[in-house]
Amino acid sequence: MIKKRCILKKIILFVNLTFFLLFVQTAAAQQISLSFSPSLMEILIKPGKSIMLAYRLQNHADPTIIRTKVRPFNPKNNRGDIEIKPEFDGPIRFSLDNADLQLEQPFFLKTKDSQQLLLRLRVPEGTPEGDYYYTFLAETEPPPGTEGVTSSQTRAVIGSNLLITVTKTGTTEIKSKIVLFDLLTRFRFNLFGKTFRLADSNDQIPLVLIVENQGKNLIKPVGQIVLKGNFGEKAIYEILPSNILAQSQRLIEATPSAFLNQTKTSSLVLTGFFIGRYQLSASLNFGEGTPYTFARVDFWAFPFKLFLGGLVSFLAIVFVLKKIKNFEE
Amino acid sequence: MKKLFFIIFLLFFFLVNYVEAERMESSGYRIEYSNLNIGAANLSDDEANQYKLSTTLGQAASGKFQKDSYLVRAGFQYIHSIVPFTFSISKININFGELQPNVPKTDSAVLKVSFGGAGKYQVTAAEEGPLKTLANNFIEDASCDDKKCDEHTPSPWVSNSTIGFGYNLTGEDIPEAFIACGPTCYRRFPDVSNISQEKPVVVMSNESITANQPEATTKDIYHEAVVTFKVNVSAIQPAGTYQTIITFVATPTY
Repeated sequence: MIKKRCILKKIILFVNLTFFLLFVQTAAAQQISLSFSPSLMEILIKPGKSIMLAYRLQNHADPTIIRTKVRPFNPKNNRGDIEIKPEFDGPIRFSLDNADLQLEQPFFLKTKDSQQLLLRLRVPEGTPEGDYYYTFLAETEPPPGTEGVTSSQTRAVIGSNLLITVTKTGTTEIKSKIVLFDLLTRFRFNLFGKTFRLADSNDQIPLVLIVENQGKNLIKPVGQIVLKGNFGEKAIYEILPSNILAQSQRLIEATPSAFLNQTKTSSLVLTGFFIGRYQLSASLNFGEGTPYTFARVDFWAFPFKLFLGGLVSFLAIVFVLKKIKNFEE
Repeated sequence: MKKLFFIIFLLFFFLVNYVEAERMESSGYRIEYSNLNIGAANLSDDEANQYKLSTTLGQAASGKFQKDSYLVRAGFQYIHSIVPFTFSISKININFGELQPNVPKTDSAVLKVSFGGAGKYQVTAAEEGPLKTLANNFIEDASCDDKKCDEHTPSPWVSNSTIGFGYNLTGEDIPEAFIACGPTCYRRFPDVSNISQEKPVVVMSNESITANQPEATTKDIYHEAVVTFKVNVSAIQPAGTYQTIITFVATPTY
């Protein structure tokens, strides 16, 4: 009898250990991981109207408490960064259409769960025509810190931008200007009131194209940058569509076959073997029926490095030959 | 004969199942609206340059919606990706444990951003006040060994006698200032609670649409940076539980 009990105990212990080793997961620090889509909404709306926008918020990590809010933002620089204002302002009214959720009110989101957020946007009658920019934010509620332990709690906030154009007639103001279209060549100098840009034939030449939106509605430039050489060679770079917010500037990017340069301060990087005079022209428009905006710049390229290398090699050879000749004499 | 046909017809009519549009389910899954994102592309005939076609297959809510009073452009046709904008922090609680004078403590968290659907993004950081106790004693923000670091400029912090609370960044998409300064450099968080209401600073940003590249791997659409928090106190720091909240805000570009 005692022997049987002993065997039974051993079996139970073995089963317990097996379960413990096979199925118990290792403990990890509490994590946050949120997805929010869509990441951008562009809305053209009349005053006095309201629409509902559907978003999806997903929690890929530990269960968390979420709070949603809408805040206005301003463009921060010409690279598309934004500065979110800490407090709400502006005439647009926002609310959640979800029966059980409200803006600024916390709700619980389980692991691997997702929540559809139905954002109601209302433009009151009499709202001045123009653009209003907001970010719809979902933020986690950090848990309270542990007493007796110096700690810092982290809060994750994820956002989606709303670009709202209020117009009574459906027409928008398109008023743009190319404020900078220039090449960052290695050398440049002014002669007789003209700027000469010089590059080595093998140089990577960054090109900067900055467009200013002087109107009160956002614009989307489309167009091309064309590089023409003096031997008839031609390269076309398509402008990537991006929004230029009202009364702001933006660095416009262009790309051949969807490959982007990695530099943050240029629109395009020209690569290849250049020789002679080259002309770059940008032609942009902002939608069907809008006038084109042009800019042009040129540069000269010579194989300076190759020439210098050749010259140094030539001098070295002459020097060696002279030495050999002197030695023989 | 006619009756027989009529009976067969009725039998077929009643036996035929009703059709539920676009609903897929099994014991293991259910797709509420069977609308799968299976592709999106810009097509054109490069040689003749006569047409351009922008396509989106699937995705119920993407595209251009127009009524008399409004127009909404939403979804990935305009951004050309099906990867949702995702932001992760590997650790909610940055634990420094029990602090001792002139013994710096560090802890780190990994910030991870997937920005395929957004194209470009930024992550900003700010503190809701310095590390402080309920009695309002606080640990001042880092000024580093040379007293030159601030919210924007990092500076080396290696001395054990340098006190304060700051952070270092390593990894992808971090500010140039940290790359130039090196791994021993720290800077302070902007304090959004103080009177001057300092503005959050960018800790990660990327302006390249990597997910659009044909050879992009999964790693290309997940960018990671490690933020290392550091704290050190002097012998005159009052005892207590010092705590604060650091807010990281991830937003796509417009």
